[in-house]
Amino acid sequence: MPTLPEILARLQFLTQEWALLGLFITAGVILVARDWRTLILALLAQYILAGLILSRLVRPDIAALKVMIGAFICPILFLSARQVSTRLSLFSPFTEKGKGFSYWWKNFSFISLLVGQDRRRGPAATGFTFRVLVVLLMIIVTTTLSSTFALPDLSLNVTTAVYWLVLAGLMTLVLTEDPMRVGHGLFTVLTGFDLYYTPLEKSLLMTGLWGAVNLLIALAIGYLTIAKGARPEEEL
Amino acid sequence: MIPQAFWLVALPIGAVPVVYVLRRVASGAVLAALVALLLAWLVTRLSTGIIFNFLGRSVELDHLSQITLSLLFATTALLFLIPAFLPKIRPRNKSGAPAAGVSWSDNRTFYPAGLAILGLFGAASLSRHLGIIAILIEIAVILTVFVIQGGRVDSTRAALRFLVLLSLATPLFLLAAWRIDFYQLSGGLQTNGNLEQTTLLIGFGFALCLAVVPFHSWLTTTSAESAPATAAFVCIAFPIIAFTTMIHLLADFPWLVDSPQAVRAIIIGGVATALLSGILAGVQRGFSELMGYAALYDLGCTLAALGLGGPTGVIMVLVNLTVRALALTLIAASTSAIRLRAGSDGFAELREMAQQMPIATAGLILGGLTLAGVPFTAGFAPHWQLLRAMAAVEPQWSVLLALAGLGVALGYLRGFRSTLLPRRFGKSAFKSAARSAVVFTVQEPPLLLGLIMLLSAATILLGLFPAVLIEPLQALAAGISLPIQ
Repeated sequence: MPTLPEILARLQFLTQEWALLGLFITAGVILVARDWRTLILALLAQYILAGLILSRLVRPDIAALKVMIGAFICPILFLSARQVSTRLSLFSPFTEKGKGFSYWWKNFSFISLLVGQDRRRGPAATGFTFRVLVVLLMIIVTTTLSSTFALPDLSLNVTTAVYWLVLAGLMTLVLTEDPMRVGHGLFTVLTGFDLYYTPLEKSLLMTGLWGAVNLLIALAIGYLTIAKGARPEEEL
Repeated sequence: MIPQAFWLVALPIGAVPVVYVLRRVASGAVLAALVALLLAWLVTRLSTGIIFNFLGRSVELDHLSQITLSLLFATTALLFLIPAFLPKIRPRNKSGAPAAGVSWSDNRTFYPAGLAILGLFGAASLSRHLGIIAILIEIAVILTVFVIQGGRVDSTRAALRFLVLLSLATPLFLLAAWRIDFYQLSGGLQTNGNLEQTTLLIGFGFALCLAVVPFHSWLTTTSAESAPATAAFVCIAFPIIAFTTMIHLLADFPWLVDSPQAVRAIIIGGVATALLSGILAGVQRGFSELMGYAALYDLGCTLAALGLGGPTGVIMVLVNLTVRALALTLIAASTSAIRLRAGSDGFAELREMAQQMPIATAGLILGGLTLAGVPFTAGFAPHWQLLRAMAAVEPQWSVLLALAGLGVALGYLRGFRSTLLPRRFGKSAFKSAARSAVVFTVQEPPLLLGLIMLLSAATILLGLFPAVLIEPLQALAAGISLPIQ
C-alpha cells in the first residue's frame, strides 16, 4: 500500500493552477446546483483539492487530516439528506416495469443533476440562470480582489483560491435558506478560511479543535436538514 | 489537587447525562435548575487569580467573570424552571389543534443542552486565549441549535441563521488570536496596518456575536420562532459571554482601541442597532417578535455604553446586562403563561387577555417597558445614565437613543392595548380563524404566576431603588477598568 508521501509524489502533476481551476468548478457547482448528491460530491472534491493545495504549504499529515475531516463531513451530510430525500427521477425508470435502459437514456439530462428533482424542497428562491450569472460575477470580483489585496505569505493562486471559496460560500449562504445548501455554503467559506489559516497556525491543539468543530457543525446541519425535511407527523 | 474553579466546568457537564435521562420528568428540570443555582453560588465563593496554565495558556478567574457567570447561572436556573412549570400535556384549543411552544416536550432538550452550554461558557470565561474562547463558544453555538429548534419541524430559519452567523465569527476570532499571539511573540514589533487589521477582525467578530445591525437576524428570528424560555436563554447568555470576552480583550490589549475610529465604530454600532431595533419594535404585531427587537435595542444601548467607556463604563455594562436578564426572564415567563390561553402571542389573538390573565399580561408589559428604559422600572437607571453620558459626547445620538426607546415602549403599549380590547366575533373567515386559535381550557400554573409576580416586584423595586443593584456591582467591579476614556 502506498504511503502518504508516495501518494503526494504521484499527484505532483496536479499543479496549484489545476487545483485552483478545480476549486472554481466545485464551488461554482455548489453555488448553482440544487440536487443534494451533486452538492455533496462537489464538496468532497473541494476538500480533496484544498488538501492538495495545503499539502504544498504545510506538513502532509496536516493536509491529509483536513481531507479526512472533509471525508467525514460528506457522509454525515449524505446520510441526513438521504433520510428526507425523494428518489431522483433520473434513476427511477430502472425500477419501473417495462421501461429499460433506452427509455432512461432518452430522458437522461445532466442539467437535471444541477437543477435537481427533489420536489419536497420546493422551488428555488433564485433561478438557474441568475445563479450562473452570480458565479461569473464572483469570479470577476475574486480575480480583482486577489490582484489588489494579496494575502501575506501566500502565492497568487492560493490567494485567489481563498477569496473565491469565501465569496462563493457567502453567496451560497445569501441565496438560500435550505439547510443542506446553507451547510455547503458554510463549509465552502470554512474551507477557504482553512486554506489561509492552516499555514499560519502552528498549534496542533488549535488545528485539532477546529477540525472537531467542523465535524460538529456538520452534525448540526444534518439535524436541521432532517428537521426541515421531516413531515409534520414525524417525531424527531 | 483539582482547582475549585474546575467545578464550574465539570459540574454542569457531569450533570448532563443524569438530566438527559430525567428530561421527560419534572425532576430533570428541577435538577438542572439546582445545578445552575449551585454554580451561581459556587462562582461567588471562589477566590480570584490565575488558577493554572494549560498548554501554555493561562486559566484565570477574575471579578468580572465572577459577576457575569453568577448572573448567567442564576438566570438560567430561573429559565430552566419556566418550562418545568408548564403543563406536561400540550394544551389544545376547541378545534383540537395543539398550542405551540407551551408544552414540556417543546423544551426537554433545553435542560441537558443548557447545562452543557453553561459548562462551556464557564470554561470560556476562565480562558484568556481568544482562539480557545472562540472554539468553546462555537461548540456552545452548535449545542444551542438543538435548543432553538427544540424538536420543531415547521421552520429551521432561526436555528440556521444562528448557526451560520455565529459560525462565521469563529474564523475571524481565530485569525485575530493568531495575530495577537504573533504580536506578543514579536515583542510588540508590528506595523500599524497589522494592528488595524487585528482590530478589524475582532470588530467584525463581535459585530456578528452581538447581533449588531446588519447581522442582527439571528437574535430576532430566534426570538420569533423559538419557545419563550429558550429564546430568552439565547438572548441573555450569548451577549453576556460576548461582553465578558470583549471587556477582557480590551483590558488585556489596550492597543485594540488606540485608534479613535475603533471607539467611534463601537458607539456607532451600538446606536445604529438601538435605533433600527427601536423603529422596528414599534411596528411589530406579536410579543415574540417584539421581545427580539426590544432585546436588540437593549443590546445596542449596552454596546454604546461600552464604547463610551470612562470610569463608569464597566458598571453601566454590568447593570444593563443584569437588568436585561431580569426583564427577559420576566417576559419569557409571562409569554409562556399567555400562550397557555392563546394559540400564539400575536396581538390579534390576545384580545381580552388583560382580563383573563392580568398578572401575566402585566408581567409581559412590565418586562418590555424595562427593556425600553421607562421610568419606575429597573431599566430606567442604566438607560438614563447612558443618555447623559452620550449627551456629553454626541447630543444628537442621545436623542436618537431616546427615540428608539420610545419605539420599544410604543410597541409594548400597542400590544397592551390589544389585550384590553374586546374579542371580535365577526362573520368573516379571518376573524373566526383568529378566534378558533384561542385556548380557553387551561388555567395558568400557580408556580409560574408566583415567579412572574416575584420578577415583576424585583423589576419595580430596582426601578424605585436602583442603588440596591448598582452599589454591590460597583464594589465588585472596582478593579475592572476599560482603556476607553
